[in-house]
Amino acid sequence: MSDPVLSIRNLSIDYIGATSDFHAVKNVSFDIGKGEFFGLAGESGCGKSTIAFAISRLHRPPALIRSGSRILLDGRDVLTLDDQALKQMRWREVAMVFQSAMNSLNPVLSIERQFYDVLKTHTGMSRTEARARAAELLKLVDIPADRLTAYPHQLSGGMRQRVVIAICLALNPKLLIMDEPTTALDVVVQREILERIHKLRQELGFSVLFITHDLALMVQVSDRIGIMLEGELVEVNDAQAIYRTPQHDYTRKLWASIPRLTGKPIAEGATQ
Amino acid sequence: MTDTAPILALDNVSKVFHRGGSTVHAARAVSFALHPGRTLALVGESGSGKTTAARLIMREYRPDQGRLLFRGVAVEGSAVRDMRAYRSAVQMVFQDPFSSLNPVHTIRYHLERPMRLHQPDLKGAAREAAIAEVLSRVKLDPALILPKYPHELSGGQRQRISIARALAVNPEVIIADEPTSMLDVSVRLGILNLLNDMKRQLKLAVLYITHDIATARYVAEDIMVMYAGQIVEWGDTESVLGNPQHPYTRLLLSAVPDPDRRFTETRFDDELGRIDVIRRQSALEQSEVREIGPNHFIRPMPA
Repeated sequence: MSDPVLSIRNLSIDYIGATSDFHAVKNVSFDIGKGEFFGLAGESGCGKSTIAFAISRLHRPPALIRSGSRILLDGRDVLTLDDQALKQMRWREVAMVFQSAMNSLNPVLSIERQFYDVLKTHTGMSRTEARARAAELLKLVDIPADRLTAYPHQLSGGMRQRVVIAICLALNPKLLIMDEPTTALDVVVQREILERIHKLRQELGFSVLFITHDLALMVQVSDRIGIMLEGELVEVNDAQAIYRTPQHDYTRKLWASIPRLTGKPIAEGATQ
Repeated sequence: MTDTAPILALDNVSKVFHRGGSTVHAARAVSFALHPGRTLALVGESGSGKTTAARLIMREYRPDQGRLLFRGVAVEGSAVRDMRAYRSAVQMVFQDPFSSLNPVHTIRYHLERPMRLHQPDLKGAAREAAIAEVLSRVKLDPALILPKYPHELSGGQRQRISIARALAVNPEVIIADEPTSMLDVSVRLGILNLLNDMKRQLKLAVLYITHDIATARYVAEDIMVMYAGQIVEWGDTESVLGNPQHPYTRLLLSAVPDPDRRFTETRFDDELGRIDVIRRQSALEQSEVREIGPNHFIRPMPA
């Protein structure tokens, strides 16, 4: 791939234990291109969230990134950055929507104030400027500007999730990481949010790293997909190829275990 | 439906909750029946009233209106002895296998206790054999699993224990509220297959509550779509999912991820374009019922 936004090379992450280490991520390499929607799928404990945290250097002990690992963001190794450079990078280059992010808003601050926090810290914007920018960002996610004065509890779960996404887009990041962004939401709301992301990505040109355990959803929205199993990236391919011609035995088994909405209730060769 | 008499039925049941100044219609004229050897799926979004239906059946809530019928007899006002029979006939499997087992007790305790309570005549070797039998039904090895504590088991194993616990009292009806939503996909299918086996082999009547419509299709002969406490469309599963007629059902089905459709190709474009209208109108009370075909009905959305 020419000029990837994110390039992960030989990433190994261990959780250090008293007696033994747990190898959460084992020698993983993949690229995400400019404007690409890349899905990372796998079951709980496979290491997908660990990778997401490592990209923005949010991992904490006992997680340890082994030497030889490289995480290149626009060619610059994130793992070598000092605190000041990290501060510059977060939000501006990489923004992250966490699982159940709608609960990551501060309950005692208005929506406007939460935008202001990010905008002031990173760009030194004044209150008035920040208010205008926040209104603009809310519009991107279909929320009327008059909700700026609202507090998180006055918004529905789906709206809060969209507010978080709007805050993440505040500094035009190159890469948006979304870790199970819609898992806690109903399907119709999930659909609305992902449609928004889909449109915004085309308008603004950012790349997405999308993490979920919902393979059907992932195939629908992603350009390419990586399948993880016990810390290893076992298969990477175009979304349609992952679905129609899976190469790895584990990918095939995953598909065989998912009931379908149309056609045969379950794929041929389902075991268990 | 079938010609067999239903074991359990809700007849025109309503339940209203008052919170502050507002009222929530959690169940509105809800009627359905559970038959031996059949699974009825109840699908809908969170807050649609699915779990309220389960709680009405489990007698955690009393209906404001309507009746709960067990073998054709109203449960309300029945004698204590009949209630005990009802409790052992109707068992529940909960959503969260991590919180529905008691962490301080072994698996043996979880299976033995319901047997002691509901089948006091079962003693010694006979009870031991009964425990082994329910465990083999859920495909777990008694010798390995009985001395263990819940925290030593995986999510899938725990959910199997929850099912075994429900089976331990020889129930006729199983109410399964999102039994697979907290499990990984590869484990999910095993639990769904278990539900299907139980239904066929033990002739159980199953109410399968879920927001995952594809899994409902895998286990249920009949399906009901619920929104705002009202069942808006119901009938034969293939007919409802293959030929949905209520705008809300069509909206729901358009939003369900389907790997056979790209994100930009949707099944019912029209419904996705008027989400707010459908939500608002479908939430209104509608007493009219329209027959779409054999065993397929809707409550038409008010214009």
